[in-house]
Amino acid sequence: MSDLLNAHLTSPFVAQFIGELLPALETPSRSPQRSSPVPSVSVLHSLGSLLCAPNRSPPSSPLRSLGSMSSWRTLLLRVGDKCPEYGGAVDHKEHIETCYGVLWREFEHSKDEISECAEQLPHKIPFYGVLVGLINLEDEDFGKNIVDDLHCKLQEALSSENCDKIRILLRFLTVLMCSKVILPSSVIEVFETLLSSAATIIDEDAGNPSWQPCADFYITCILSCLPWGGTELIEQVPDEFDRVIVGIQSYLSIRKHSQDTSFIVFEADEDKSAKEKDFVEDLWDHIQILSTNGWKVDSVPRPHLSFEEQLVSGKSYNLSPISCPKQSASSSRSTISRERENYEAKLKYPQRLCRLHIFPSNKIEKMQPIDRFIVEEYLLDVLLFFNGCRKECASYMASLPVPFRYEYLMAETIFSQIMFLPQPPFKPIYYALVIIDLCKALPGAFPAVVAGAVRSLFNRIGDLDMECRTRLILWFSHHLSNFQYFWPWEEWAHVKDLPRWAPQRVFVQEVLEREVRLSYWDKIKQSIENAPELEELLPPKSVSNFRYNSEEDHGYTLSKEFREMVRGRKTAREITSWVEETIIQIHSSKFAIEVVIQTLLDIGSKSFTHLITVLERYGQVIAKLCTDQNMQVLLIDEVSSYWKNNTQMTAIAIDRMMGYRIISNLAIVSWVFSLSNIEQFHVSDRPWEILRNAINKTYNRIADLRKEIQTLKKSVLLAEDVAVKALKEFEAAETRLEVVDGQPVQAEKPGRLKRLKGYAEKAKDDEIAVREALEAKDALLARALEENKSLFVSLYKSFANVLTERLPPVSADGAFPKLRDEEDIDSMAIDLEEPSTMEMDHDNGRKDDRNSEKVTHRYSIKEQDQWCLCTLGYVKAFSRQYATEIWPHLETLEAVFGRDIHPLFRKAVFAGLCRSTTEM
Amino acid sequence: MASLFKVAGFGDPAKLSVYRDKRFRGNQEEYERALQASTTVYIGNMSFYTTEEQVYELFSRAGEIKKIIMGLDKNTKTPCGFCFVLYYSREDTEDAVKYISGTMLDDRPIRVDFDWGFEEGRQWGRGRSGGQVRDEYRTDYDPDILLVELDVISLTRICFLIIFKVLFFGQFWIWIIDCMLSSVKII
Repeated sequence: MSDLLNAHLTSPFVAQFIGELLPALETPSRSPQRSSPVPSVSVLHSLGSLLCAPNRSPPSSPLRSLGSMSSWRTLLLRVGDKCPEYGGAVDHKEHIETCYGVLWREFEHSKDEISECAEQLPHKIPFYGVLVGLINLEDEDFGKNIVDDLHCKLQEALSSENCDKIRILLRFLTVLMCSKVILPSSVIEVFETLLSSAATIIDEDAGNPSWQPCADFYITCILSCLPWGGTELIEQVPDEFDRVIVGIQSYLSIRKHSQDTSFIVFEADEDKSAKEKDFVEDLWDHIQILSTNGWKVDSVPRPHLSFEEQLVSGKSYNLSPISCPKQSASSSRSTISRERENYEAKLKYPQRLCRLHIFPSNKIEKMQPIDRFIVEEYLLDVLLFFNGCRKECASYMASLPVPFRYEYLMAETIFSQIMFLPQPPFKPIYYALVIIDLCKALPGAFPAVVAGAVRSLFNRIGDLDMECRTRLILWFSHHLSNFQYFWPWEEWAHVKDLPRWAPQRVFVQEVLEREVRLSYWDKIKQSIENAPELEELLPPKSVSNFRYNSEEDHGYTLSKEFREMVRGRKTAREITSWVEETIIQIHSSKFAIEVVIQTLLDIGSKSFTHLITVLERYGQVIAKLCTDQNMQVLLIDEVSSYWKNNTQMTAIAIDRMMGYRIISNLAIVSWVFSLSNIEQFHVSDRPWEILRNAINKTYNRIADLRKEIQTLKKSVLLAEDVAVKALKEFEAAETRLEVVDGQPVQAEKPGRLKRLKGYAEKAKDDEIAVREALEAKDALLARALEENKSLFVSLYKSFANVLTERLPPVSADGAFPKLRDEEDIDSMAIDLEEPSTMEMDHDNGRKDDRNSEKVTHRYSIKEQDQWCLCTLGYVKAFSRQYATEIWPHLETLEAVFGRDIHPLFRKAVFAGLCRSTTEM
Repeated sequence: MASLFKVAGFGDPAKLSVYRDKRFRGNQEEYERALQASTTVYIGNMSFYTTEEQVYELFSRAGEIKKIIMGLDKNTKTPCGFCFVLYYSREDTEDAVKYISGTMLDDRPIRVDFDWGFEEGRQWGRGRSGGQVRDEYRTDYDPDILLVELDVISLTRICFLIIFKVLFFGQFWIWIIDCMLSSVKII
């Protein structure tokens, strides 16, 4: 893949050229400690315009206009980076000295900037800590201000439950302690506050164990500070530190092991998760190993050590005490409401990372487990704070301040975000972009790693969560579209011989489908030229399937007549009556649908816009024809038949029709669960895409209404305020009297009074209007929520019906039927001995680089079982994605399920909703 | 992200394009406000052959699409390399600009910008020839594609890059020859 990075190769060349030039240009000005770096910036700028060839817009002019003002900012931002601003120097001490050299004169202005840098470039916190420490030597107030500021922010973050901020501020706190700005006892105090709050939360009587995710988060925060300041704490306050450690230990002994099968990416790992350590336990282990290693971490720079002699004379401050918000005690004792609370806590305090072990352990970089954790933190922070800054994001991702390579780890981390359940922090397309940019930034190393990850995931695709499979397909097709669709397809040619329902085969087929949508059929056919066998898996060449092509076709003349009427711009009303008279009365409604839909779709077949235009003009004709759900299902059938060779257009047409309210979401559900579609469940994404769209559209309507209501509520308050003020002003003017000739007379001129009255009335009217708008929206929301509820009832009913018919019966001893192969479990058991290897797969043999000969491709899951696995997978995926919407209706849904529901179906629903399955 | 980065002039996500539509009636401030609230994006540097469905497939990954308006050559009424996509939500619009600009669609690096909102008439190319203005000046317009400055590239890596380049151009020529051969066959 790397050799395809053609066009972008030129830019690194230029960068390299500048990289070499700069030190030479800069050396004279760099040697004195407090020299101004202005020349370097202007040099950079003039070279920057060189870089940005003539066809680019003038870059970053603020840099120039701000002149020397920006120079200390630039240095502050760039401290610790290998960059031209520091003349490519890599010595951290030198960086800090240079930066401090310009900063100390500006420190009055730089307080906020330093804090901001620390909060948004958390992987460089140690540098900012030292800078604060150094300025603190010059000006004691500076340190005090920073500490007070930190206190305010931390308290704010704790109260508003802003996890990222809490985590980062705590790290900054620890680092400031290392730079002698904060007293170690203060750090201990903060830790103890968090610890005691965590202990209270999981206490049955005093707290509310449903909120354990919050308690776990606090403990994770404490533990993840230790790599930054463990050494210092143990040196300076050994007894207190021990107390904290003992506290954490006892917390861990009380807390419940968290086992979320809902958010597990590989389904085969479900049973494993109960035995494996969870995130907090895992981190605790790493920290313990770290403490026995004398707190040595390669991935944390410790620049304060070089400045220890100076820093030690600085004045350290106390951090005022902080308090954690009290989680409300559980009001109700019912299981459902407790579980719902626990679910909400999980969303509020999510586990930051679900590690995805993609690569075998011999491939992934060797590093201490704690280093792995820290690099993951760094990467996630860069992804978080540089969302939208492509250039910065890629270059920071690629050049973390760690002394070892981490490409494999980086790939695993990014993929773990793409597949993060229930929702990744950003849209998956963001991560696609990051991967594209990294492939370009590290052309020698990263593309191969990405390709390796794809191969590994492909090998385990049968175990992958259904939602993750969809995300993987979307990502992979998009990724390839950015690299000229180059992929060694011959490696996967064998899937052609697998049964139609084999997950690997379906994966390849769906990737090709998406590629064709992003490109065009012939191009993709050409791209798989190395594996001509795979042509069979290409979607049909997209042509519409018009029913009336020759005069013999029943309906040909009617269709032609209809088309003429459309061409003659007849109105929807005229056409409706024509349909009524010439088709329905003579033939049948069903036939009318056939003629109308086939013809309209054919007229609108040229493009998305043509379709919309037709629907906008003649949607009413269809709506009049299809008033009930059964007719709407027939309508969808007709759409699907017209576009049977083009899944995208089918999906778009159905989606638009739902948008124009020609068809209801219930009709779509009912159509998706019709027999011909059910048979497609395990071999194609087609029915699922349409179902996903329908639910998503319903959800989006609700989300939009909620947003609108939020804004309207604000405007109501505003309007109320205005109305009250206007009225008061009017009344004040009205009552103001004047004594004229001994008689009280109104003091205001009648004209002004009239005007004020007018204002007051208008303000009142406005207020009423906004209120009415709000009421209307509220009513709409209520209706939408009701629609949503019936949608989910219908969805689960349909799932229950099809699954109950097809799931294997529960055996007499009550054991769940096994859908996956027994052999499969065996091979897993073997692989368990070798943790984090990838080859626990049943579809495919090992694909080792050493062993390139083809291994026999085992795939032995029967069609019916694969159908069940797939459908159950979607039950779980839908439940998980819309859990917040489903929870309020849980009692209604329980009634839908009934008692004699199949345990596997129940398990899938429960897993999706994060409910504990123990009571089953 | 870091407002500091804006000050220092390093990539700013909220950065509005320098391009200003001359058709916009209003002052600069109003123009910027229109851009900041807009749910329309302008897409440029597309291939003339790119279809609405291709645009739909890529841009729907940033959010639900309301409408697509293809830019047409005002004489021939055929696509001429730009289009507008209208979203329902502002958030999705921002994501489209952030995540799709500079990536490939139909093998061309496309450019995605906020647009102040489509109105009738804007779908026609404004170049003298009827096409997009840009086409008349620059056939191969290169948008702000990522420009990662690699900090330290070792000599060996440069060698690698050169080899890759040679490889690519090698393949490129092979491909051209291939195409020519196949077209000969067709004839």
